[in-house]
Amino acid sequence: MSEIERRALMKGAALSALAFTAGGVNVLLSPRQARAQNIPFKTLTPEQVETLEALGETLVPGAKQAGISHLVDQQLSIPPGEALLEARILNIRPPYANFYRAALGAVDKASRGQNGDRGLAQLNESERHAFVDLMRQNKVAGWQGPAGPFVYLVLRSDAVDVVYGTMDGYAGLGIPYMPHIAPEKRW
Amino acid sequence: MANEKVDVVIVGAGASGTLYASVLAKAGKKVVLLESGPDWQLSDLISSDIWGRRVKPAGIPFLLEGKNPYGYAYQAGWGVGGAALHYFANFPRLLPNDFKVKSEHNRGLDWPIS
Repeated sequence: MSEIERRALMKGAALSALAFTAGGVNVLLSPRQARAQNIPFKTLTPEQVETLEALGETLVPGAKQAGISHLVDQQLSIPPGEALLEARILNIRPPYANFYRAALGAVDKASRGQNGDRGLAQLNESERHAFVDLMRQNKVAGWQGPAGPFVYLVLRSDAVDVVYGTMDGYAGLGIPYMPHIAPEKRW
Repeated sequence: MANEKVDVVIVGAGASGTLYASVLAKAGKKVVLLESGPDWQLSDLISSDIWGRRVKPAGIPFLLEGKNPYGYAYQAGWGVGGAALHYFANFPRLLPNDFKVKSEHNRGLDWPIS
């Protein structure tokens, strides 16, 4: 494949082609496909996945099915310099897994403290929205971890990426996906 | 190389650093240009909001201090090319209140020429 073709593929692919490991073999999948194929997680624990999916789905409906946990897990499992996470732009210190562990742990602990030992995933939709609304305003009592509004910003960005950063996402918004036209030859 | 004496050391191979290095080198100076990020090639650069994040910093965070710390990472680049890596050649026209940021927001300065 020529460089020009490779660039065109990458541009058109959006978030549709990340490297996951299935059965010891690297395969290119979208986060949605990775979730559907139950690709094992490398970095996140089952509890963190549960919290992340509950938070992601609350922030951007569709994020769970779109594979937010597989996106984040895959991105935390590669070198920071190759990551595509908004965390890079938000001045978070690598390894980014430290931030995500702290953030998801804070969400889980605060939710349990406020809701009779129920984590975010165990709350109903109304309760989740109420919790996230307080979190974004930094008003969750007993919060311990990265600032709630910052956690909201970072995780919402991830949820937006996984739901709308794809060609399907653009189609869902009714916006034509128009990647740049590849140059005919190298500059 | 570690013990070689040079005339100038420039930290950061962005638009300014590379230009200064070039000018100084052409003037006969021995220059070392230090850069912590990758040596990007044209074929590495992809016009994409998501994939374009690879040219953002992925090392030690910027130290943001002072009364009004500024989230510089949004404007920063990483590697040879620096912030110029995400230069879009896009210059939105300024709005009237862009010239009154001190008066309206108590930040920066108002436009000084009337």
